[in-house]
Amino acid sequence: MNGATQKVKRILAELLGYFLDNEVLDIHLRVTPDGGGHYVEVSGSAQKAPSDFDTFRLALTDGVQPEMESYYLELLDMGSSRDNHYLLGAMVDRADVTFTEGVLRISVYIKE
Amino acid sequence: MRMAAAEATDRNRITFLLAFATLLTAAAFLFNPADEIFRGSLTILTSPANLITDYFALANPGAALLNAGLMTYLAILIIRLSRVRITGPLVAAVFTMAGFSLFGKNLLNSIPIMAGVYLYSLVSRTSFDRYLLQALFGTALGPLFSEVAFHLGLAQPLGLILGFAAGLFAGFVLTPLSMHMLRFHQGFNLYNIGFTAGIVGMFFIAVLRNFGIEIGLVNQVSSADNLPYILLLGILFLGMLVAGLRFSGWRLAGYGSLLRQSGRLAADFVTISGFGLTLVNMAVLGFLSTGYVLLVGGHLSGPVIGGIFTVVGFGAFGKHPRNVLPILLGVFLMGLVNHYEVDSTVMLLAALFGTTLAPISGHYGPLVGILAGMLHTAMVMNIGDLHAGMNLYNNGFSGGFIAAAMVPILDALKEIIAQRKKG
Repeated sequence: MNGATQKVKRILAELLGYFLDNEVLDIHLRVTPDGGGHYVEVSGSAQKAPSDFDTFRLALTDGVQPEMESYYLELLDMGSSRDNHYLLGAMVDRADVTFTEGVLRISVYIKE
Repeated sequence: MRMAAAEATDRNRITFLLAFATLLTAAAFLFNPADEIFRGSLTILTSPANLITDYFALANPGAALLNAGLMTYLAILIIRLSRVRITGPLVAAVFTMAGFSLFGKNLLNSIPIMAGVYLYSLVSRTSFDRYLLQALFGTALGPLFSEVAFHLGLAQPLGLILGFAAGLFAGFVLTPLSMHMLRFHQGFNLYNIGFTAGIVGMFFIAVLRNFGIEIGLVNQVSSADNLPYILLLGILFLGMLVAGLRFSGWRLAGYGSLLRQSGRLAADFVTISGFGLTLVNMAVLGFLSTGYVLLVGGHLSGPVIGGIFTVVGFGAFGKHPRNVLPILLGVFLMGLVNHYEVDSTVMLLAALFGTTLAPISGHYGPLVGILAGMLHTAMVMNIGDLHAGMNLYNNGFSGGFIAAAMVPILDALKEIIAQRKKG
């Protein structure tokens, strides 16, 4: 397993964790590799938006921090959920987080 | 959060760091005339630099401050060349570079380490920006170059060549090791690269001692009048406080939230709380740590000011008064009963750099933080000999062991208590 695959697996695990923690059901997952990275999209149904939705969206869309990648890869599954949101956000190159009509949708792009 | 109307842009952050470097450089010429600074700088560059070599004492305050200013410019240059945003960890790295350039780091002994990290990025075909923190913090092993180049009695340029090779190798191996070591202390030791550098330094010294080469710790520390340094630090922290308040729209909304963070790696306060509040936090930590030193009657020597700068820098990356105070108290209490004076340099350094364990205090509570400070004091006094001062982040080395030993026990206790409450 190369570094890029490991990174995608960690991010996916974290995103799935967020959905399950917030009781989002009927989860759909799509991973699409392209030449230089992976598009990851996770969506699911929920009656209302997660309570920390705004914080989560801000954390995820804050922008990539390449210098911290090793920290994220090693620590992502060890901190509290709030810490992890920022770790997650700093690992993804682009993110789009929406909650409309009872569907939570998170799309991220992860460069290799 | 990042909602303050007058939030700082990346340009503000760079301007702030450049202002810090310029303050240090300009201050140098208030302490000594140019010719003394020049001679002092040569001494700094060509002397062994293992712990504790206070550049105020080895050369003069002017040369030490110029060295710190130039090293800060170098750190900023490397960050800019890497084209990354200025985040909390990078602010911490710049301040740490400045601080340790008062006692151990210099342009000559830091460059081989950085080159080693760069070499690793080339060999692993990875962009250098991913290893920026290793390149900046890794300069903790600078004394390795100085020791081999100038202390082993080797003829020049052989000494310089071997010193460069040692630094290059150390930087190269430090990079993958530092990632692995994060799991050892689970992010509860903020000076992760300090821990890694301790391991690398320990191996180097073991090899040298194996060949009968003896290298020991030194204790060359200045004890000049505190007043000029109080003024310098006061101006710096006051400036940071005002700038921070301005950037956060003259409001402290959100600071309470910052203070509730555990500080565990990787708590980037610049990202989480914004640059304005982060600067306020850094300034408050500056006043707090300087206040501690003065309150216990300590001297503001090069290493102690270096410790203050490091606490301030990590005010952007995990430290705040709420998780730092219990550690300071723990070290102070231990100082009352152990055989070191509370105002001695080693105890001041244990207190300032012991705040590497601030996340333990932030996560498990102040009483555990006090205990961590006490244990750290005992450990750090005993561990420097392993690397003979080759690793400038000796407290990070000690902090790694303390965190690795305490965290599993504390987690187990928490689990037992939680189960008993349930059952």
